[in-house]
Order: sequence, then C-alpha cells, then structure tokens
Amino acid sequence: MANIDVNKILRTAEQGIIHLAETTFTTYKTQAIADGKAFLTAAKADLTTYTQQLAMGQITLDQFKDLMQDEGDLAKMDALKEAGLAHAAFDGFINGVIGIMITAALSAIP
Amino acid sequence: MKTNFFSPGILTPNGGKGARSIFAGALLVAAALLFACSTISTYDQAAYEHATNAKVDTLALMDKATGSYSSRTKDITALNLELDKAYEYDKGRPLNQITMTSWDVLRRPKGILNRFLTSWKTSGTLNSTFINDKKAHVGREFDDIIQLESGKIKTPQAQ
Repeated sequence: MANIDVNKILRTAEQGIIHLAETTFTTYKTQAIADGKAFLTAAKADLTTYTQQLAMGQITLDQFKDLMQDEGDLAKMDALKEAGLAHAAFDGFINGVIGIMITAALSAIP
Repeated sequence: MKTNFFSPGILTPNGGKGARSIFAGALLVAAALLFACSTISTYDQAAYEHATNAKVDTLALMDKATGSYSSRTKDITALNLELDKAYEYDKGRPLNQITMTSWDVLRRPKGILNRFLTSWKTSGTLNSTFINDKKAHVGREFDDIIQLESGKIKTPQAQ
C-alpha cells in the first residue's frame, strides 16, 4: 500500500491556508474600510458643497433636495459593490485553499 | 492474491504507479468540482467595456443638458438603448445577481440618472453647477459597477 502521510499533508496545507487567509481577508478588510470611509467623506463633502451652492443661488431648493436624495442610491451602490467584492475575495480564497491542498497532497505521495 | 487496490500485484502490474495516477486524478476531479462552486461570476471583459463605455457616453450626454432637451431626444434614446444592451448582456451571465441589482439601482425610474433626465425634460435646460453635481453622482454609480467587475476573479479565457 502506498505510504501516504496524511498528517503531513494536513500540516503543510494548514500553514499555507492560514497564510492565505491572513493575506486575502486583511487585504479585503483594509480595502472595505477604506471604501467605507471614502463614502462618508464624500457624503459629508456633498452636504457642505450643496449647502453652499444653495446659499449662493447656484442651485435651486428643488435641486438641492434632489442631490441629497441621490445619497441613498449612492450608499446602496457602494454596499452592493462591497458585497460583490466580498464574494470575489471568498471565491479567490477557496480556490487558493484547493490549490494548497492539491499541492500538499501530491507532494506527499511517494 | 492481494485484493487491496493499492497493492502491487496482478491488479497493478506496473508496481503501484497506477495507484498514484488514480489518486492524483481523483484529487484533480475533486478540485474541478470545487472550483465550479463559485459564489459570484468571474470577470468578463465585454461587460467591463460595456460599463465603461456607457459611463463615458452618459456623462457626455449630461453635459448637453445646458441645451434644450428636445434637441437631444435621439441621443437620449440611443443612450437608453446602450444601457439596455449592457443590462441584457449582464443578465445572461450566471451568478451575476449583485451586478444586476446595481444596474437596477442605476436605471430605476426614480434613480439618479432618470431623475436627472426628468429634470432636464421638465426644465428644458439645466444649469452647469447642477449638471456637474449630478455627473459626479452618476459617475460614482458607474464606478461601483466597473470596480466590482474589475474585482472579480479573472480566468485566462475571460481576459
């Protein structure tokens, strides 16, 4: 019977998977937080800008309300993007795990 | 006679090397099946181009809103057709629901773009300050769709 060290396979794979998880999800988490902060910064800037434009008569009150109404859709779109990117990061992680397991298994076959 | 599948002997006359091939093959099949279990569509170059082209054309049309709406109805119709085509293309891709929902938000009757077009139609013309503010918002919506597409896993044949 082929002498396959299953424990060795699992140990090798585990180390690779831990590193992959740290890399994948740290990268995604960092980007997601940055995107969230960017959205809040933009929303705050929009409010300031549109208030000034209204005060200076550059836009009408209806246009001001319309622009502020846009923020809801912008928030939805950002949330959808982040959800999609989370899925993509997860898929990439799973693909990476499978690759690690295959490599570990094949290298352990005598 | 040994009947252990992995034993060398009459069942594996090549000294057990067949067992390694079969085991490796089984791993590859398992990997192929697991690779098929994605949670979102992979990157599509055509979809990316549709979205980027639509963004450019939409923002260019919005710039025309300093002029009369009635003089741009053909352009508006053409833009809506372009958006319809991009939408239908993405609709046909499996595991693409998040992108589809994004298109729905962008294109909905009370969405940012259609409220802009309604304002333009109602007012006849729009001032440049308002136009630029709305362009920034519409541009961000397209950027979310584009950035999501760009962030999807790229397979060799999709690029």
